Amino acid sequence: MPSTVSDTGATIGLVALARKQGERDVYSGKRTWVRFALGMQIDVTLDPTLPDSSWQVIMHNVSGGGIGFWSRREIPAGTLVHISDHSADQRLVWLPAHVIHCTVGLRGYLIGASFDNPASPDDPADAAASIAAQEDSGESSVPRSPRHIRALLMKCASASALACIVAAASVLITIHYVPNEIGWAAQSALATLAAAIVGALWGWMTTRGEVLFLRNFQAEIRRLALGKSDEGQLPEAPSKELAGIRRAFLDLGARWRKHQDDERAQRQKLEELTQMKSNILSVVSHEMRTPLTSILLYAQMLTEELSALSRDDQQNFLKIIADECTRLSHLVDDLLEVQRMESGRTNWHMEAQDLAEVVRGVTRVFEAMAAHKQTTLTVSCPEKLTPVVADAGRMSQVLGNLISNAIKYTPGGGRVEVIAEDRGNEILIRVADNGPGIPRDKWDQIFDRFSQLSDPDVAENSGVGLGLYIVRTIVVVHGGAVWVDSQIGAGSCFCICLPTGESHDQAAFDPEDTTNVGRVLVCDADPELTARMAQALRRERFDVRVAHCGRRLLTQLDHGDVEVVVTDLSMPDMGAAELLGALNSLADRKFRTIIHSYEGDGRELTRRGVDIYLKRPVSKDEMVQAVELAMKKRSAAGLTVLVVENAAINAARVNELLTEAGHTVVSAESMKEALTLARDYATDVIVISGESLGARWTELKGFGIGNGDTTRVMVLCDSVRKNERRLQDTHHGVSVVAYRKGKEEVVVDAIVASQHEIEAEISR
Amino acid sequence: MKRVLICDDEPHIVEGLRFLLRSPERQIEIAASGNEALKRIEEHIPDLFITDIMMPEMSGLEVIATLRASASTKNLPIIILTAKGQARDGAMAQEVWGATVVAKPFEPQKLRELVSATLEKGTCPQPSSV
Repeated sequence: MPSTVSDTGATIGLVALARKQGERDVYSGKRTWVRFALGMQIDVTLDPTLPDSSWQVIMHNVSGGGIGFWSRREIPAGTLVHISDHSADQRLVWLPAHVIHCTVGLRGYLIGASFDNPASPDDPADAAASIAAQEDSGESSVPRSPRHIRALLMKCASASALACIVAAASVLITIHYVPNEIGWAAQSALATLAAAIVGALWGWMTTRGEVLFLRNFQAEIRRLALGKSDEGQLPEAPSKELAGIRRAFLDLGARWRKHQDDERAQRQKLEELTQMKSNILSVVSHEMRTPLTSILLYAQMLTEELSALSRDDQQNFLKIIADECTRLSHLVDDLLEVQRMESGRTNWHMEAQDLAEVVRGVTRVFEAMAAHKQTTLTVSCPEKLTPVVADAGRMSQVLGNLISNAIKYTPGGGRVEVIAEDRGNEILIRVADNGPGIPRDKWDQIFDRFSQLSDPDVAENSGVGLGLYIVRTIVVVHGGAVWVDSQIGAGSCFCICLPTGESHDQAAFDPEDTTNVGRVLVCDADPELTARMAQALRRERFDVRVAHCGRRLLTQLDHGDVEVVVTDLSMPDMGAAELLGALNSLADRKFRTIIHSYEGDGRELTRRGVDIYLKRPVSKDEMVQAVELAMKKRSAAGLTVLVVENAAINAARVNELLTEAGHTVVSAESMKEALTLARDYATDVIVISGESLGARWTELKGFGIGNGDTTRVMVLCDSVRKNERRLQDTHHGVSVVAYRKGKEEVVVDAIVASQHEIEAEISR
Repeated sequence: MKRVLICDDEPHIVEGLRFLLRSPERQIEIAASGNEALKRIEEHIPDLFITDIMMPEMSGLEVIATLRASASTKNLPIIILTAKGQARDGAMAQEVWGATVVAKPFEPQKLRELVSATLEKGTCPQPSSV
């Protein structure tokens, strides 16, 4: 800050161009000192040589109140930025409609303001009006608390009043005790001095905390306004009056920071997606241009120089054109295939079959290709293999892909072996070559979609990287696994492992541990998602089956041994209503239903027979937890009780007692969580304590409780008073239970009693 | 006898180019990778170097950068054939290294004319509509 800038009462500041780099501002080096005057216009023209990345105009006031005001906004090149002098009016710096926070500091300077609305009003008067309107409507994000401000003023006033009283008292004391000899003037001077000291001391003592706090508060506002994302230290408020303001500010800060973080995350995700899209486009267009170049080249040579070409050349050229056309058409096929699989529109023809025939058949097809490269292609497969439920066409595609890759990447004269092995509960098929091998860090990566996108080591003619992705998707849909084992220089071995029908019956995930905790059917149109969910559940020892469309789901359910169904609502072949109807109408229904979906009203779904609704995205843990709960509900015929854990009740003990009595317990840590669970889980009884009810009562009512819904609410309180009694009388389905610490049995008894009521209601 | 070195990992394209550019007063050589091309150029500097950009091991741009760093090949005429959708690479090569960029798929006749013109002048002309 140059020392020559003097405080003239007007605002002197810095206008600079800056660009965000992480949390830091990087200045362009072009900055100007200006004296902001009323109505002045600063012409900001962005230098076209600057790299194009969201430049901002930053204005720092460096005179006056020390901290000064600042503003920051993204501006298009050539924009006029309008600055008003705020010495004339405290709020004359026009603010856009969405003011996050502003504070008027010492001497009328605005000490902190941040904007989030790019559209600013043209006229300062409009802005002032919009702010006033906002404050009137109570929308301003800074809560006003006149009571607190008044209390603070009262404190100041009391300090002044006390100082006056002390002054008067000391005058009296002085007159009384100090000997008259020192003279009247000295007497009064002494009295005034004493009064001043006492007053100052008192004032300092009473307001010291406030002043310190306000200083920190000011710094914190500035941090927030500058967009510092970390939370600074705001000490405890020294008084009740300021504590309210502090709380409101912290809340505001937290919300603002969260908003900013969310926005940043969203922006980043969008950027990644855009980057991915452009990468895909670039690779796909490259893959199409290469064969097109050959086709065009040879076709033109054929047309222009037909007579000059020998018959062999002509034939050779035509063959090349045909090959390149095939290559193009394969690329288009792969792209379409991936698109179909990802949108769940693939039709699977699953049937129990012996894969031995498929293995031998596919190998036979590639004999010619291998012979052309002088590569030995051998197959070793038992006469018969244990049947596998599979789509024969897709399995041929998988094998074909692996075999053709092996032949392609193995130098001429190499060796490719296809080995099928029957292990009883699974079939293992290996395609091994003695080619160059694949480095270890690529073993997983090669199965990803567009895996060759960013890999400079991969040869240009090896395609877009869709082949192995398709292989993996198909194998996973079959409930199997695919992996690669390789040694550089020695060759690679691609292995497919498919579960046989027998492994389904054995219901074992890990052959060493045969305990199985229940059969789950997972259904989703997206094969990858289904596979991930199935894997997470298998790890928890569930026996998992998968389906990818509504019809397949219903056929699997017909077998009758599924205990829990996890399914999306929208299926490629069935709407939500049709699916729910079909699930409910299945005769002899013994399974529990979990719906996981992006769209859906949990309350409505649980009314229509769904046991648990999980709103996507669902984490693995949430999924496993829900399945475990559904299993528990299935084995226990009793009620589902939602217990809100808080100090009032020993939830663990209640849980124990209710489980003993054959009920299922869901616990929520807070009232907020309980409300979500009450909406998404089919709950019979909700146990809450009187204290945690408060304002949430209306929300509970909003879910239909007390309005003919069968869900009961049990409110626990020390003693049933008038309010509670009224609650019980006016709301159907609400009962108030007097509960004393340690008497969990009372609660359990009340729940068991309500069971009969609920049953009677349902039968009615 | 003018010598032309073609570097591309696509055998069909290399063979097609060899056929397209053949002429009694030209000797056409082939390199299947960037490394091979550099080795050949080190042995004997050609009159024209035609290369692809996206290749395994070493990209065409790396080859050109290496060539331009050496005094003997600083002015070697270079034609870049690229199927890469990113015009930026080509533009950079053209501006920084004075190479001529031809986008794939190209018109064979125009490429033939460009090669003849380049060999005649000994420098790369800026392409008009290749």
